[in-house]
Amino acid sequence: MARQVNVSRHFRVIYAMWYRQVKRFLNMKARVVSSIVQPIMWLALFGVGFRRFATPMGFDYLAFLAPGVVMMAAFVVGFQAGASLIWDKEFGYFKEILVAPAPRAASLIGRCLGDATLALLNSFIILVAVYFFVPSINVIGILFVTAVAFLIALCFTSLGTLIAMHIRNLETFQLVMMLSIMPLMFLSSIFYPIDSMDFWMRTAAMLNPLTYGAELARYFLVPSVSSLSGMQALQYFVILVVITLVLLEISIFFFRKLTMG
Amino acid sequence: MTVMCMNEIVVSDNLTKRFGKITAVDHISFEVYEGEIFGFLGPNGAGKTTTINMLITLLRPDEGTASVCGHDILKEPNKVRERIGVVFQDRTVDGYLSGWDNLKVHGLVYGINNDALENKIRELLKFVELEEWANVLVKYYSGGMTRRLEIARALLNEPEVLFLDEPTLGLDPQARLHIWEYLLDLKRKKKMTIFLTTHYMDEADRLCDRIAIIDHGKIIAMGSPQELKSMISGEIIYVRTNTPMDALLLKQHLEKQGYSAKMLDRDGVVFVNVKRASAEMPVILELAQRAGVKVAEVRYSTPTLDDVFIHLTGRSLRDERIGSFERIREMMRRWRAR
Ligand SMILES: Nc1ncnc2c1ncn2[C@@H]1O[C@H](COP(=O)(O)OP(=O)(O)O)[C@@H](O)[C@H]1O
Ligand SMILES: [Mg+2]
Repeated sequence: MARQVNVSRHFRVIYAMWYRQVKRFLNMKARVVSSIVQPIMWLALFGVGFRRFATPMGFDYLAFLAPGVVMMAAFVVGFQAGASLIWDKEFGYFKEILVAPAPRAASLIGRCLGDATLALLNSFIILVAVYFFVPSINVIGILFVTAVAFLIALCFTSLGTLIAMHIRNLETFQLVMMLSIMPLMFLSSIFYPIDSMDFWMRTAAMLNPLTYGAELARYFLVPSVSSLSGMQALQYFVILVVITLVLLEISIFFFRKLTMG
Repeated sequence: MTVMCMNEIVVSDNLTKRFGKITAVDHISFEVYEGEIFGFLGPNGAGKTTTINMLITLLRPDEGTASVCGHDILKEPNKVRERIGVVFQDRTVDGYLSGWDNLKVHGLVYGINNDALENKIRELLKFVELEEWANVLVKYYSGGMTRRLEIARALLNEPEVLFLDEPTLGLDPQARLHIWEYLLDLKRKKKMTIFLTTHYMDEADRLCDRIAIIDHGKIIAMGSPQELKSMISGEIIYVRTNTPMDALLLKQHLEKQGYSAKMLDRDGVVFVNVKRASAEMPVILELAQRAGVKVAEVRYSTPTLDDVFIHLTGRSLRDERIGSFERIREMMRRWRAR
């Protein structure tokens, strides 16, 4: 069968699914409140505590950490967004999507974009909060960091959704999340510089999209603690885009396969 | 058969689906004609949902195939999807979206452009009498309202066939009547072709032009409600006794006297098929007395579709035990979906 691509048709489906994910979230008042309060609380408690003992060491650890935390927010929320797919499978909405004549790719992309938008929102709140803790951040850089955070969000939303496709049970999904979030975070350069890692850790970190996110965020937000050159930054950005697109494509492939696309 | 318009909209050709050892749908063949309401009537687990899922391209048959609006479900699933509307057995609305937004998302996914969509949504919400609820989150809707919204949603893309899987399952009598009216309205005013499944014989009787009775994955009878009921001539007398033992005793006495009597295994009711109930009732009561069987209740009616099902299978469609279980499950599902 020849697959004819009708751009406006695809766009409408993408928009529909994006709208659904975002609107549905906004209608859950409790989730909206907690998604605003939680990151701020987290950063407040964590950041202030760190400042106390990190500054005397002669190294502004908070300035180093803050950009990574922005990425962390995009990552954690985006990754777990796959849960919405499991919810839809359980409560029937999934069937409603499957019986539609819409291109599967568009419906999946829309869904991931919607979830990524929500994750971005989360990390943007952190970004604003960071400004209060680390006033020295580069304000112009916020624009670029937002783009990087969106890539991280989309990258992990795609991965989370890919995982969720193969899981029925919400508890199983949460277990998988719990078991992978920590290693992904610690095997990246969110918490410590790549140069300080041993060979194996560094290899793992360089395979981890989060590392590219954290490095780029540092480069744009707090150039003084970044070891990247402009050329490297561009390189990292391209790598992150490629990883994200590849994960999204794999997700689409399996989505088609699993749903008689 | 007394069907006037003979355009086939749905043609099922030996559809078969197995789940492990169970053959859920067993070589089912039938046609649905343009403009008619065609019903699958059968008890729980008969294979109704499985059949519908194959027709609407959610499930791949193991054998056989079907075509909907001239498109093969296996070869052109997207063509089929474009031409149908579906109301699933389980609720498939998004509780955290308003009624309006549920329809909006659906319309966009089906490729309807924005201006046309708004008008269409308004018109359909009016049709199912939910205009005032348009902006309320669907999790606050009652079961009947949810169903109405789902019907409106299924009509958004102006389908040629509407599929409904147990459209009134778990609804109270008033909500059911409401849904029936909409469906009959659609048939009358829009000449909509409707395929529905149900395990309520009154629903099938009231709505369907033709019915396929399905049991254990097979069609065991097919025809108009009248044709099916005329499989049993005369009238049916229902004699309720106090115990299944009494019922058995009465049944055997009746049979000895040349009556055609049947009973179900659980509830002590004996069904007697007679020519004229008013004349036979006293005779049967006297016979019961002589047999020492205490009669708790007697009534009679012309045969119902349930009688047809009993006649064909020896079991009743109306299995109260499963009925109430289903109801609880439905309630749980609604409760959880909030
Ligand atoms: N996904 C499935 N896996 C295993 N068995 C199934 C599945 N779906 C349905 N069945 C079985 O197939 C039979 C028919 O089910 P179904 O089509 O749901 O019946 P109905 O809709 O008439 O109540 C039942 O015995 C049911 O248990
Ligand atoms: Mg069913």
